[in-house]
Amino acid sequence: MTHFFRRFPGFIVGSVILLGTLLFSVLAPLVTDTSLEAVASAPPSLAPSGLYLLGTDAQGRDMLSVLALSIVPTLKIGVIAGLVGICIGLTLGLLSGFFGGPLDAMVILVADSLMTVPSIAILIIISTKVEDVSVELMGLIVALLAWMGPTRTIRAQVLSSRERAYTAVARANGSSELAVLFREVLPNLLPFVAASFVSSVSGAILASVGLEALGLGAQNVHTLGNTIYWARRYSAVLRGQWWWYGPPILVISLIFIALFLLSASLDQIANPAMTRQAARKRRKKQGGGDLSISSDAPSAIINTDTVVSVRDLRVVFKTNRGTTGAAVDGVSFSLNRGECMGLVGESGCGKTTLAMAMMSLIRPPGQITSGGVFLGTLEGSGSAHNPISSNKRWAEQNILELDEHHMRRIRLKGISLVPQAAMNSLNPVMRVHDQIADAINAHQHKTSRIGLKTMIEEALTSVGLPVTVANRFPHQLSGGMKQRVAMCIATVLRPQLIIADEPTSALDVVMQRQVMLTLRKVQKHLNAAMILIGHDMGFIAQASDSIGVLYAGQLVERGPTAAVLEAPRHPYTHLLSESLPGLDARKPLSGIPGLPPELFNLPSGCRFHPRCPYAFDRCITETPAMQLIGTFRYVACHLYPKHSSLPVRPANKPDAAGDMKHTINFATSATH
Amino acid sequence: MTNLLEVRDATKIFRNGPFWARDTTTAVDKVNLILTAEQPSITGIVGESGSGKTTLAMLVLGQLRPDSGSLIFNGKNIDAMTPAERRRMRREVQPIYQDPFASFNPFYKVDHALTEPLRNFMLANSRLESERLIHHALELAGLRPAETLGRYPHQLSGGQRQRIMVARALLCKPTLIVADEPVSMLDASLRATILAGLQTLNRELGISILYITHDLTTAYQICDRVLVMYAGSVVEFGTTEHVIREPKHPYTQLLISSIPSVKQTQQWADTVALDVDQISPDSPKANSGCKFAPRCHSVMNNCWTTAPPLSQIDTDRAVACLLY
Repeated sequence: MTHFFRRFPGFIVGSVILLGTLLFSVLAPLVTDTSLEAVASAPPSLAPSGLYLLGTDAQGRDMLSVLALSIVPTLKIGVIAGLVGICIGLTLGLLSGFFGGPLDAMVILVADSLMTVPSIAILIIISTKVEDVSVELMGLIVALLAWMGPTRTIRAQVLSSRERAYTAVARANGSSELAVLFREVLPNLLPFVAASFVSSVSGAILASVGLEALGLGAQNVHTLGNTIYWARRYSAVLRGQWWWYGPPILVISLIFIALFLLSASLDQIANPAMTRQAARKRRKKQGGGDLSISSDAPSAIINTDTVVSVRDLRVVFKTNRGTTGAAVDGVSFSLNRGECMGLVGESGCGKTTLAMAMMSLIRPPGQITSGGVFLGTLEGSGSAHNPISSNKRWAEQNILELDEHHMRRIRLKGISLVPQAAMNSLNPVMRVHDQIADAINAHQHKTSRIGLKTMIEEALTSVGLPVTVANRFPHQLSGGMKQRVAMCIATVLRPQLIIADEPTSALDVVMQRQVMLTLRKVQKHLNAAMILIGHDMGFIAQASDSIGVLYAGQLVERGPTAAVLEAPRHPYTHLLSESLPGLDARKPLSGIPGLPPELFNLPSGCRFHPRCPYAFDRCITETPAMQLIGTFRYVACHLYPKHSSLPVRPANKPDAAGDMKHTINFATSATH
Repeated sequence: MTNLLEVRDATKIFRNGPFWARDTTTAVDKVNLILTAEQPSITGIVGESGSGKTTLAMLVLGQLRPDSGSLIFNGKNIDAMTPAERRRMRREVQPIYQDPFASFNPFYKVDHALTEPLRNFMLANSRLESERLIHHALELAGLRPAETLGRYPHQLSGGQRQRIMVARALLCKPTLIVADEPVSMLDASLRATILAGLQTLNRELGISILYITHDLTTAYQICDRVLVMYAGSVVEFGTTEHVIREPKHPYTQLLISSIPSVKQTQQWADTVALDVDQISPDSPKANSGCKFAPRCHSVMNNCWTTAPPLSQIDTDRAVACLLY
């Protein structure tokens, strides 16, 4: 509970202000004589004094008593209007969102047309026509003009949750349509309903105070708006009687602040992503010790062919409870020109986090705590296309030390990313030509129109698209073509390093092959290095030159693709490539027992030991270091250098405690 | 003996746009499929995205009505069923969806998905019995009830959640499970165990399974028969060994040659020319002949004019291609 309050401080502050105001209005009659609120029960126009704490007005009313009595009716109007508005909104929003069709069309038509009408004008007309408006009636009148907002919000939420797979599952479970609506869809709407209620309350209070200040609305009761109206009637401002209009304005402001804080924190509770974005963006470098980098980056040879080298990179995530976990932990490797490294591992092993860290795109609660990403450049040279030129000096730069402005220039031009669902990264309302031009213009300011056109046409041709595609919109292209356009944007500025995060996971095998072959062709043409992230070993085997295996944030094996797959050294690599079904033989399917460890609960020693069939005592206590075991073969495992290759699997190693069994005993359980 | 499920010339056409510029897509085009009751089998439906395999699944689940043709479940036409029969079919044909993350309502604990079918189909008489049934189903799906029940979906892994979905389907005592890409969102290491689970359900409990996928390797591992779809039509159908070992239809051949292999000896050859006609299968040219003709490497003149019928070429294989 305290955790909740720490996360949403606005919620307590808002509630405290609102409760304080209410308490004042309820308790004041107990300590002061509220009968003084009647006309001429006190001397008129007195300034605040010991006897009359907030002074009196021109008609001899004690202002403290008036204030105390006017808070509750004002809030009552707001709450009535909010409740009625939300009831109408919930009913119409649910029905029209869930059942759709003509009902939906009608509701939306009415709501939209009412929203275009200036509601305050209608309110003025209604309240001048109706005699003797009570607080309740005032609430109702305001509600009739305020239900459209909640209706639209709730309808939109229903529409999105109606399409979720869990409603389909509920139908398969035999639920009727009404049960789906009330038991599956409605509960997920509650936070939205609450936030929407609070904001309608404040809208209603605003409208009613505005009307009353004009002398309309409920006039026979004390409300904050009416007090302001009378102060205006008697020219309190001109006479300098601030105690007359000041306190009600202050109380109204307080109520608004409280309601705003409540509604904002309810929004946050409903949509936790907002908290994360609001968190302060920190890119902190603590002291010099953090960047102490061991230079044991596994690579073929560190020479001028090295495009990028990652050294001892560490990305830490922090929870609200204060625990930390390293999603990427001491990863080092380097890549040569033209090399494509396949990065494999189960989901949750830190593949995407590593890629994001290399682009310096880690957002809170994640943080890069140590290490560097060194991007090589030829110093003083205009073009990076001739690396063999002898009179130029090779220099490398830790891009994690760059500020955001310089980093933005590196992205796309130095390192570019082909994201996971690349086809969805295109802007649907822009022509392909303009999207590519945008990318170029963001980095090169003085490109002529003709130069731009040639660049775009060359780039499109390089990914196997006809130049006519430039004039099309994304929706006029097929999935594979969109993927190619995304690849074209990622490579048009000739980056040194391309990071492709499962670039073909949404495509079928035929398309996968074509897209991947094209990407490799472009990469070879640019002589860029590439990191290819994937969990499908077959795909990586076909598309990469070398492999890096990631487990629980650590690099456990690195080497040439052919050698690693033919004779994996790390037990994890072996199990990973074995779990892939092939077309060679129909063998019993096997997976890797257990699950990757949780980020905040990492095992001691070697992180793979709880799932490893080869684990022995040393693995539990000591973390294995990356060691060189052959030409460009690195492995982090205690089996080496004692063994020269992965030994035969020890038979019948019992499953580690707490892990899920990997062979399912259907046969035995099905009989009873 | 009546068949468990008969799909007869089922056709589903989707219409888009206003009536004056109506755009029609034939998602499923005269598909025939028979699942026998006495021999529960795993039938794979394979095809690329947009080939109509999910639409076919929705027809079988009764979520969509065919525009023409019929679906016959246990000898009864779906359209002519009484409400009680319809309810029984709704219980006996159970889906497993692709996304184990979206399949759970985040508001409830995972127990909700398991108690609902028992409540709705009135399968348990007491609280104790429903508890016993749930425990049994979870164990069948390879889960430990104590580690699963009482948790929220986000506290479980994708593999565990998909197993709960299998357990959920089992609680309904199904005769047919329609698994729509059940493992495509899971890691390769978890796929194997879920698929082995489906296989055992078929063998031990006699539940027929329609396994819908775009991944031929998993289909090869678990299916008895494979049906290959292209643009809404069946192009090849036969036993798994036949279809995958010696594919006859050029499309099946293309699919199989595109499967990435871990073996470096079987390299992805650069044989597939990368011209643009081939990379846009989403817009098959309207022709009266074979839909695959624009992409086919052995296309003949009459392919453009004559639609090939699905014809039996040996005892357990049918191909829709004019080459045979």
